[in-house]
Amino acid sequence: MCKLAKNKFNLFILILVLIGVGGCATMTGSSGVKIPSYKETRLKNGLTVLSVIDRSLPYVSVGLLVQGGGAEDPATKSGLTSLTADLLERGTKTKSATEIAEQFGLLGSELSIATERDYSILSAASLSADQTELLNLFFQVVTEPAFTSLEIERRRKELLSEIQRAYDQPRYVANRIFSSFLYGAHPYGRPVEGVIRDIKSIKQKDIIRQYLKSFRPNNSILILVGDVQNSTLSSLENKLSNWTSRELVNEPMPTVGSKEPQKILFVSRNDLQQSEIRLGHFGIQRKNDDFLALMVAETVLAGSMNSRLIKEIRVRRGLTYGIQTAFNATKQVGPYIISSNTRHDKVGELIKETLTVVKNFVREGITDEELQDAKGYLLGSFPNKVETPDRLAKIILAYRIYGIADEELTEFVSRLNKLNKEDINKAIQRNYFPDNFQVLVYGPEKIVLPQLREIGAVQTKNYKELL
Amino acid sequence: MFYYVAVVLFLQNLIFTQNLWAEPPTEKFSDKIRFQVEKFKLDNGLTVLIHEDSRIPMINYQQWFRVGSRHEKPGRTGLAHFFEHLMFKGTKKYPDGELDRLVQKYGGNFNAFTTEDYTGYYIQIPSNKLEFVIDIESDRMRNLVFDQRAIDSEREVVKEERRLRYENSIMGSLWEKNRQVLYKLSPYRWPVIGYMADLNATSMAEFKEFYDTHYAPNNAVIVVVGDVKKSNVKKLIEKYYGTISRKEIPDLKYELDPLPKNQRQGQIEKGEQAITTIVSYPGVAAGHKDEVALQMLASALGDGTSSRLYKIMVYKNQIATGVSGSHDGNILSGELMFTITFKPGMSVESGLSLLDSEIRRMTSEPISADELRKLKNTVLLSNVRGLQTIAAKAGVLAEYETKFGDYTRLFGDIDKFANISALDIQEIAKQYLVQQRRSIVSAIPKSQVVE
Repeated sequence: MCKLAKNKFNLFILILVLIGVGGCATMTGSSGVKIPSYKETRLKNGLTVLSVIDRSLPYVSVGLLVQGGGAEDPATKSGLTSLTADLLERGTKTKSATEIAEQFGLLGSELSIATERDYSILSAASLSADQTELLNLFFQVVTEPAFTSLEIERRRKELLSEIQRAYDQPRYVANRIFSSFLYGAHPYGRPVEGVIRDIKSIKQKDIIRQYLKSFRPNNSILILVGDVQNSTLSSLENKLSNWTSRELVNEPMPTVGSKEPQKILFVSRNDLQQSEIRLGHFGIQRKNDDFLALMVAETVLAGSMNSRLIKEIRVRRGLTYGIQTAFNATKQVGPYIISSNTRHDKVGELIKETLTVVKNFVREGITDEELQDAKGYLLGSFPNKVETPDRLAKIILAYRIYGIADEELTEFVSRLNKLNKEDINKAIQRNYFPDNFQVLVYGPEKIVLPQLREIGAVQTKNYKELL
Repeated sequence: MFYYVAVVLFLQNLIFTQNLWAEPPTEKFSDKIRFQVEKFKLDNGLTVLIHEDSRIPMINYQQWFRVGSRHEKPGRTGLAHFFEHLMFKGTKKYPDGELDRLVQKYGGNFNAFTTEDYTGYYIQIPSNKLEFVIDIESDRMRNLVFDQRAIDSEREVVKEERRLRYENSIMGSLWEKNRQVLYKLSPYRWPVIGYMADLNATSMAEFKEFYDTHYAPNNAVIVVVGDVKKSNVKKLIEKYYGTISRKEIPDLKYELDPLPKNQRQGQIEKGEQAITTIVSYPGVAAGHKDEVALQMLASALGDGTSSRLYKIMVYKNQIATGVSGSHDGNILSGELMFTITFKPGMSVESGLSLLDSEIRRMTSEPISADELRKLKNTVLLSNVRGLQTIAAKAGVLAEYETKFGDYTRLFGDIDKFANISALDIQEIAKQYLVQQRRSIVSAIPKSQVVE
């Protein structure tokens, strides 16, 4: 099989959930890692089926990924895809929302639904003895939603309340405003869950149209993991025969703009007890030749307690409990974001010193020792990524979403080993632009604003204006 | 608090491949999930558990100490957790920064957590670094170096952690207030993170004393799970830990709060959007005979979209965006807690009246057979999935051994879960969901505060 290593580091958790760098068999110098094998088929209706069989534990999990996600929402109807996905569990032609919840519950499970920028994903699990029941229920929810006015109104009100409550969560507010600041009118600038004004305007026909348009088998991938019986696999064609494919409307996503000079946005709220800080610029698409080199670069920059940013900002200066960086690599160019938080009187210092670290990083590049340490980490920690069949499934699924060839898996170790310092440093030059960071600070005006004015020109808004 | 949910649910009710609900179990569930653990003790009192699992060429190594925030004193709260941070600051052999570098270079991840009752250190790393791990962990147990600059900068980090998790968080602030309302005498009344003034005041001498007092082999549990050979682990443990002397661990006496006679209330002004409330009832300490039934009761009421409280508060009456229930059993005492995140404009009373109606139902009639089956299946399934990783196995072994001195209890608990009846749960509800013993603590926006 293939030689491979995996990066499991905290800064990559986000990326890995989204893009799941592939996992593979053995690492140099150690015993082989037993990777569950996976099978891929396609049903007559165009549904891709991935199965990761593992009979060592008596459970199965089922997942359905539907391509599209929040980026497909029309400009004035943000939240449409997410709301549509949420409503799948709120009633089918023959079952009420309560019945659906109870039937999943009876299996010891709960249907989980999430929408991200590029896809929606539904998943559930059961003991293997219950897999037929699980799949029947799951498929019914996916293929026969009722979308009644009553349930739409109920879920709409829930969602509006959830978003309103989230206005009191500093991290939510900072993340949301920053996406909008960075992306402007581009779909990636809109929150996947939607903005209140748009959610209020969504109609039943919008939801039904979105469902019929996107929730098609030829736009989806089914994943089955665990003690999946052969009879289950062979029953899929029949069970899903009523779920028909439909020609997909290919609406290419707009490209993002070019990099801008640094701008600072200060968002004021006076009862905060800690300030949130974001620095970012446009990053990469998931399909990018620099992806592996950037994994190494990120490991060096912020990927562990031994990394440059954490050593300087947290360990040496005590400025924060956490500073995280991530290339959010998506279908279209995703953002590169540095996130942190600190006491109000240290905001200026944190920003200045972070910029200094990143500038040095770009100017000097990584050292030989850093390269060896990062490679050691990525290779050594790889087996964690494929410890369970569910983890492997996530990785393969991400490959399918983003059109990544399995060679990224099969050639990972050799590619990683081939990368030298110059390769990494050139990739750094191509992808990190500390002079073009857009900066957001969310904090109280009196203490924070003067510090920001020392750094550059500042645009100021009250947080209520931007939500 | 990191392992509580995973651990408590973890090995309760594990593998079984047939639907046993129709008839009473003919064999114990624990027989199906029991896995091979070797336990031994060194002369210096160090307890070691080993489980071989070479599915991946990694090891998960846990080193837990029986000391937590409850061992602190007022005025010096947060000491155990702050000290946990200092355990990463180096020894003579591995000076500050070396461990971070080496662990990363070898492909490892390590971290730690502190609870009211214990502090756990864990590392996952390629199995060919077993000796390295045993070396550094035995080294940290007795040779920690204290440096004022490191302490001062780490103090600021811990303070930022407090700001992040508590002061700048509605849930965190509410949690802290809730502890203060529930407990006036118990050492559980302050949060594990400690109060800001205490974090500022703690000195190097106090850290040293804390370390000398509590970090000893006879106060520790080690668990090794993964791609190892037991005999080799044993040999290395003896080599590196054998020379560490045991210490006399002080037997601290705690004043505990009596069972409350009246309903208590508390509130904080926090946020602008909506109310958040925690309703608590006195529960039981970890290991109590009623603990498992209380967990099932909490689950029936507040775990997931098919739970009773979710259905009535979120779905039907639409007063909250969420509601959850759990039982937390610590060493000295435990609580049954329900957390309600209200919709903007909804009052605490609206939630309490619905909570009361569900409690009346729970106490007046047993749950249905379907509901019971659901609860058991939920526990079973989450544990089957939880069993998969070496980290989860190591963590749950460490927790049971640390709490009870007997990891095998987790197998007994599994059988308990499987054998709970609907009547058991009804009895427990009657006994514990007593209105005058409860407390209601809320975070309320200024605009909704009623003077």
